[in-house]
Amino acid sequence: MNRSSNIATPRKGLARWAAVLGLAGLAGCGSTSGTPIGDLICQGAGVVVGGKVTFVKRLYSEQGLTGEQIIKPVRYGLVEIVREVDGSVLATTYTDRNGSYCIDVPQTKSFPTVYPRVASLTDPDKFKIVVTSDNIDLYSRPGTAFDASTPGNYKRDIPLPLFVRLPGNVDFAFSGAFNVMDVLTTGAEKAVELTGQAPSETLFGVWRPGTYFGSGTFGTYFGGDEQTNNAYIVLSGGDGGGADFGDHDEYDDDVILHEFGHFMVYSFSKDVSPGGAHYLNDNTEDTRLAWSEGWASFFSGAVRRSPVLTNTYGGDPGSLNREFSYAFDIERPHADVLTRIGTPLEDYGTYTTSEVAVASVLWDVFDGLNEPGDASSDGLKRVWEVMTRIRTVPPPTVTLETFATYFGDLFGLTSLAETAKLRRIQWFPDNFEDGDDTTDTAPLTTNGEWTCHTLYPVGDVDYARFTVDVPRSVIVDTFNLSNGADTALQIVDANNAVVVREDGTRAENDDAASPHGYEAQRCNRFIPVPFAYMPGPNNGERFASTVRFDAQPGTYYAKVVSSRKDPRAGVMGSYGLIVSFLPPG
Amino acid sequence: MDVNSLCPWCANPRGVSLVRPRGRATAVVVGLFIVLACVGPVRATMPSAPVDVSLEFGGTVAVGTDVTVTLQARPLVDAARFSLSITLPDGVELVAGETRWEGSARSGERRALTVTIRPQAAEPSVIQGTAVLGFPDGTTLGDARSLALPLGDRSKPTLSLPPPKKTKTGEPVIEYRDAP
Repeated sequence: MNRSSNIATPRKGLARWAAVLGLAGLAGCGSTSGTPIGDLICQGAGVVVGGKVTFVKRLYSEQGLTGEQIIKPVRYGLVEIVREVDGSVLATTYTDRNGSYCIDVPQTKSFPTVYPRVASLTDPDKFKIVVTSDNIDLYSRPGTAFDASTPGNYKRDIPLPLFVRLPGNVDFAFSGAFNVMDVLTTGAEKAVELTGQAPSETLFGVWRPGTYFGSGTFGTYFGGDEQTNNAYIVLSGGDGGGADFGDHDEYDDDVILHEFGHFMVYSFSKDVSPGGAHYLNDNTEDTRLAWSEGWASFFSGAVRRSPVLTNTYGGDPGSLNREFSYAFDIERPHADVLTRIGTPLEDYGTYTTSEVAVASVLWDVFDGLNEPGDASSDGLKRVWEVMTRIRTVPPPTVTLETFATYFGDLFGLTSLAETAKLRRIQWFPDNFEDGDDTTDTAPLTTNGEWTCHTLYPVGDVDYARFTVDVPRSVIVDTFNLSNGADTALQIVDANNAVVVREDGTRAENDDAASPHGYEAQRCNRFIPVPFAYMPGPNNGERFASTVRFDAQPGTYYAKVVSSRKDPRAGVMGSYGLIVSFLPPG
Repeated sequence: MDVNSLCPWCANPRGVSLVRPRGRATAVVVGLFIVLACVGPVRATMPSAPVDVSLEFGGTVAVGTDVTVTLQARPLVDAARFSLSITLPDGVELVAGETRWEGSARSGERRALTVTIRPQAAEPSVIQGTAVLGFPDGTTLGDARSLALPLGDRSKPTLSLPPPKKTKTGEPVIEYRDAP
């Protein structure tokens, strides 16, 4: 078969010749996101069939699904010619990027009725993407049958409907499966653009719409398995009430690409996130989780060149609970530009322990500092260069700090650190670094005075000097920890030796049993952590340190380093320090 | 990521490695089922609304029989307004209880709304429960759950789909055709 560049080639047993006409009409639809136009006609000497395969895409805005629909091509989808009598497959091909296919069919004299069938599996020579139900069945739709005993050119378009009406008057939201395949294909194309190759894993998009029978997939998440070389993006099909009930994600391109972002890291970089539920306004997250989720949201925005991420809920305008749709902006997290978040992301989208802050910092690398809307593909390539390095030079953990370290090695940290300040991430030395050792020039603190510090750069050791005039008990606390700080506190003397109490214990502490509580408006924490998020690992108190000891008159030093014992915390971070003298006696 | 890190508490965390595929399709299907069964709590999810919502029946659902429906919600942030509501479909009688509650929300404080209902007809229908947080700037945030009443024709407890066929390379495939 002769082949034009935008027409797929049949894979096997194709001795016949066919020409492709109508290319002029197709020339205008080179964009992978365009609606196919023009009229494809396959020609050949034998039995030749071809046509266009399309699906219905539902559009959305920041308020939810809009009710608008467009027709899009099914790109690189499997098309088979099936014999009606026994379901055997006579020929196989794939659609091209315009959704067109053209295939020779072996002339069949016995049981000659055949039909084309498109299925939710992409050309593995391009991307290994498979979209299935939770029963691992491919979705497919047959086209109109024809007689394969008679040579001729058969045009068989396969327009996939939005809904297929199944027995029992159940409207099955069929086209959604092919939107999932299309968006995953877009992600895979970005992978090729960034890495020069398609992911080696087979990526399963698992989705089943909710129905009255409660059979939909529930929850949206990514998982991978190195042993089978498979990865899975499971997408919510709603909550079982019907095709438009609940949070169904088959048309949420932003969500699908967020999950693809996890897949990108899984396939080409490194991710150590523990996973689990997470919330946009939670800035107490495990640093690994915040990084992983922030990266995924950033990637979704970068592929679409939009900093706004939307998660639709319900159906078209007028549907039940559509108002639960939400959107958030990672370029400048702020309540004014959000829809229905109801949480002040400007305040809570902060620190390396916030996924919104992580996404925001990455977006500014992509987009350029304070240049809203001015997307730069070089920016994504620069970000990806760091991600690749994380794969080739694997760090022990992966957090925003890891990214910053690698970024600094490649490009210098100055601009990134400046951007990060917008999200209260403090990658800079504190005001007390001069003479920061056990000398008389070490920063001096007094009873009840609090000072603010950063553990920066990695390995920083902070000292605060205080003098005790009479025998008394002294309490030294770190407090208001942020940016994943995990302090380890020692009281040392001028020789840098840890003070030993009368009972022989050392005056040192990693995580306090009763940490110093939140201090309002101090040391990089200006609002309290919401009660519900206090169980979060980086809540400002969990990794704080407290040392109480009976001091004789003399000069002491509070020595603070990063504990680096708990993987949920970072290796840098910010904190406050306070020394309290108890009354003598 | 290996299977252990995906599912450290599974009874057989190395279950996938025990699969000895007899064919490609079998291996894929078995492997996927195991991973899906295990992947839950450590999965990489999308961010959620800061409110946990559940909707449950308190007993067996049958036509003409009273059964309770309880909507529970736990906000994860403080909010000036917090409302719970249960929406009953046609054919379901409200026997007791209020279908709406409104107050303020304190982070972490669980609220429940319980009604007693009596289904009147043997037909599939859906009860909705919603929890909505309201904020001073006018924004709302919430989540909803649906409960399908397992009533009606017993021949319809599952979707009426044709049996799967096979692709040329052996993957199971279901052809979705419109009902005649």
